[in-house]
Amino acid sequence: MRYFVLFMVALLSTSSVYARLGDSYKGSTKRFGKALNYFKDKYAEVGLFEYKGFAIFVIYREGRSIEESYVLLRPESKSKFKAEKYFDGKLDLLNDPENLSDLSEESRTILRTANLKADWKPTASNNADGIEKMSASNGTITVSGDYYSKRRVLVIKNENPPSAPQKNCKRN
Amino acid sequence: MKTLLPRPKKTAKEIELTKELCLPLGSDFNDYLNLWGTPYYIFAPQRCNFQKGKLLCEVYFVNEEKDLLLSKRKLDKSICWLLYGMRNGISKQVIYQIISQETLNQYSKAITDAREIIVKFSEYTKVDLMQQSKIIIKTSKASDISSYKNLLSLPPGLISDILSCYSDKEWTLLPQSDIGIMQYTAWKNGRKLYATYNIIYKNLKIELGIKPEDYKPEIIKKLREKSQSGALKDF
Repeated sequence: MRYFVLFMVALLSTSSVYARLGDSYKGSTKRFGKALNYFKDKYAEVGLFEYKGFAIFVIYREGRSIEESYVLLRPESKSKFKAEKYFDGKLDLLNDPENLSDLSEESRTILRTANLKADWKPTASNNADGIEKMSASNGTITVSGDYYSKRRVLVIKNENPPSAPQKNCKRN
Repeated sequence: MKTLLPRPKKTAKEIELTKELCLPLGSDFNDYLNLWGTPYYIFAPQRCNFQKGKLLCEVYFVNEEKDLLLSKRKLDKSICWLLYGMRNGISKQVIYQIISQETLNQYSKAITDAREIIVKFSEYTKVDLMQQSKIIIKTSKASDISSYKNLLSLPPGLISDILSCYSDKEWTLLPQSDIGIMQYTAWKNGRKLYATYNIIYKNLKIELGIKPEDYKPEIIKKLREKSQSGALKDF
């Protein structure tokens, strides 16, 4: 019983981490609090959040999240991560697997299902190059959830995002 | 493997506009001069920065001749700031960035001044300390144009246009190598090209692959034959 309670606590604390594809930036801030770093211009919008030991990098298009990368910070890396002022410096830390913990299979399942409640299945090229490739569809939405085991990053991505703005490339 | 989405067909004018931005990697430094005009910053013999409208282009060169002369101290180190130092360079990597009209207006004088001083010393093979300082002051001011705060994200249409300009073969999206990075690859003349868009640094880097798998077997065979015949020259 004690283990069941502990498992449920762990499960709930992980499930509240998900950002959910389709969130607006405002929606993400409601979920995680203010972004550590954020920028938006005509062609891109990205935000970096920290929540309960996870760092979440979100890419938005047309005001909605289309790709989310989840990593679990090692306890000893958290202070380094917080102290780093610049966006690129923070990402450098997240791109170094030494600063991260593995995402457990349960966490990966929870995060994937939280983003799309559907039947997640391994794709044909699953486990190629150490990448656990999974995808799920729900009606018209197809979402991939690839776990890069060497990098310790789970990337959840809307595979049918709205098309990017196609402003002409006029030059002076 | 995923590929880039098909784009609407371009008009002849649009195709021409994009061609104005691209030279195949391996092109001579003079070709860049002809295409982009005078650079606004030089760090010879490796690097040069060009600007055309709102587009910035940083090109990295291989320059074996100058490297050798520098290592033998047969060239003055001050060529670092001179057009002469870039001559005979062969491009190996190109980085594209874009700025706003406001930024362009803000830096237009600095860019003009930088180009003027580079042109002024274009025939020099070395400069004294005073001249060096003048060049450094002028060109460094202009080089601030590509600082992070001035950059805008590249329009996806422009990225796609640039890629198709470098290789008309299909560009394939590679599995993510880092957070915030999108990397594509395509073949060109038996060699793999890589294009990396960094969403944070807001730049598009194009470079040739250097790993053995980045060459088609026939190219490796040709290179081996060439190196063998080169080695036999002194026999």
